[in-house]
Amino acid sequence: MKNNLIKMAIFIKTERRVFFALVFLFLVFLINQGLYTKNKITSQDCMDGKCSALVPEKPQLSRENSFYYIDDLFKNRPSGYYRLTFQEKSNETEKIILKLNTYSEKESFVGELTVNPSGNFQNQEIFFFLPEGFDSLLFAKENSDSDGNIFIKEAGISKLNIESEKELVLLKKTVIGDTKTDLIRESQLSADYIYPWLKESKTILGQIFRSSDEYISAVSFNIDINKNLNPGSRQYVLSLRKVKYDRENASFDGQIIADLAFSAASIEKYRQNDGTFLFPIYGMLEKNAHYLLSLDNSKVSVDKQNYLEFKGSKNNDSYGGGSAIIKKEKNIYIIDGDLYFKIYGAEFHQENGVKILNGAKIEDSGKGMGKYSYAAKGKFIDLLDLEISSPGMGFSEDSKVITAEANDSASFNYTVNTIYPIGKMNFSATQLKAGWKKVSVKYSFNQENWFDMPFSEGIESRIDSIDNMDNSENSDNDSSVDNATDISAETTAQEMIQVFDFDIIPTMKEIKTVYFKITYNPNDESKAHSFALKNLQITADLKMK
Amino acid sequence: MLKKILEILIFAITLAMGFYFQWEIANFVFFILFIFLILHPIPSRFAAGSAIIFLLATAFLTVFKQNDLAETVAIWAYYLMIFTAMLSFGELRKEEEKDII
Repeated sequence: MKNNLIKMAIFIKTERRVFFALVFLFLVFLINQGLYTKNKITSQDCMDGKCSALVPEKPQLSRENSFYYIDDLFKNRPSGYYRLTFQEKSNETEKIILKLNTYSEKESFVGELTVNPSGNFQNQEIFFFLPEGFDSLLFAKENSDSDGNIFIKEAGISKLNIESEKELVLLKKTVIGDTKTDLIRESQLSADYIYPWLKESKTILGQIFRSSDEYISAVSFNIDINKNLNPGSRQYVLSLRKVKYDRENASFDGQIIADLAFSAASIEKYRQNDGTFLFPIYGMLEKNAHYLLSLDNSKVSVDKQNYLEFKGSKNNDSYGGGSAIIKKEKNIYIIDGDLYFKIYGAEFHQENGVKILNGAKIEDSGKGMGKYSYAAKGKFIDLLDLEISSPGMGFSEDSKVITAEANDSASFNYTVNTIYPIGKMNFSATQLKAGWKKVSVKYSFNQENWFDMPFSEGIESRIDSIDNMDNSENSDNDSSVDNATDISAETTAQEMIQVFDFDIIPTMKEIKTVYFKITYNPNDESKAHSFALKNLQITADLKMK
Repeated sequence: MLKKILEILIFAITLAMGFYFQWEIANFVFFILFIFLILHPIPSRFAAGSAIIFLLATAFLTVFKQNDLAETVAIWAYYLMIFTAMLSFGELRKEEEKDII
């Protein structure tokens, strides 16, 4: 035994390199087998919100908290009649009492309201007289011991142009645009088969579906994640495109309509409570046409420890409107079965037959005067307010605005219909970043004669620039793939940005619709390739007689 | 003789690991190269020169917005820098041993 050990020691000393190579091999094996062991996260593991990235909302009113104050709502507001609008959602029928409040605990009754159980937020409107000296608004549950959870948001007040309570009854009901996106249009919900194709590099796996809506707002897939400790930051690309499909063959028909990129590390933010993923992807569709939603792993280093597995059904009849496909190199292959998927559409708020932008308010102020107000929410749903969607346009999760590629005739257009004739309309917005393509805003009353909107220039603050700085090509953050942020923007903190703040006064009577076209300035010769506006707001004085 | 057998065994294990873990070809090639350089070292300046070439290529690729390729080449440069450090360490040891003799 001792002799053997001595022999081994002599061997190690004389053949150190062989010994080091063996030790190195052993360490690499341990690291790959142990530290980088495949970690599979299945949709079943994540059911009931176990992996959900969604932070559960806390109700404003509950058994534990039966009062909710909105401070400084009335700060610097003159005495007079006001309209309070807010949105509420409750899980039980409850009575809410609203009071004006001061810091010295003085209270004044505003009104009471019965809220009914609902899964969606409901708009509420209350008129009240605001005396001098109040600061806050108080919401209180009438029965503080009840189990009802009430959510309150979007509370706002506007001054009315009336002098007496008698005039309140003459006011028209406020119209608030409310776009619904939780409508499932097409689906295949069987998930008993695993599609492992994305294990192979440079593969596209997807599902063809027949559109039954003119819009797609999101898609849900059931995906298991195989990832090691270091899955990398390279991104999968989820894309939507039109296809020609006849059950046996499929081919692309045109360009990508919309896309979304995410890495294996960042996919969790799309996780839903039921364990599946909900990816926001917006596009305008042609009814009864075939479209492909597919995931491309070409940019990701996939191997047997690091890939995504789609779930679905092996049965060809599980979905009649399309099929699962894979694409390798230039060939598209229709494969047996269908992926698990839910296609979400969109339903716009219509008033008198016209589309009202999401969140837009049309309020009667009294005496034949009214107000229109719309502001971009800084959420994905802003895309649905656009009248035209062009390729390369998307919502940037980093900047919280709609961005578009500055090429060809790229533009994003809004049609603002106020229902009532416009006295004066104001458009305000600022260029997202200095260094991006200069923005050109045009407006029209008939879509034939377009007028350029003037702008001033303001200095972009350094902090804002740093906060908004991103380079989506390298970052782990998700983004629309074609909307790669300009690297040049990183060095332009002191540059001027465009500020739009313009009043439009229609020369013709009875103008109710104004069209806005936001595009890039073709004379801007900078190398930037994207354009966007932030803080977009449209307000108008209306004639409601 | 024993050394030869062990070297063949080491290369066989290296190949087996590559297939077992399904490494990408480039990573696999670098791994074999690493093992080869442990067993049969070359002057470190060759590895250092290659690392510099790859670093320059990374800069060029970044300028031309080939970010994915730039990232890959940067990783190769990093591998070569490790080779350089390893080979330099071996050369230093050799010189120290010579000095002692």
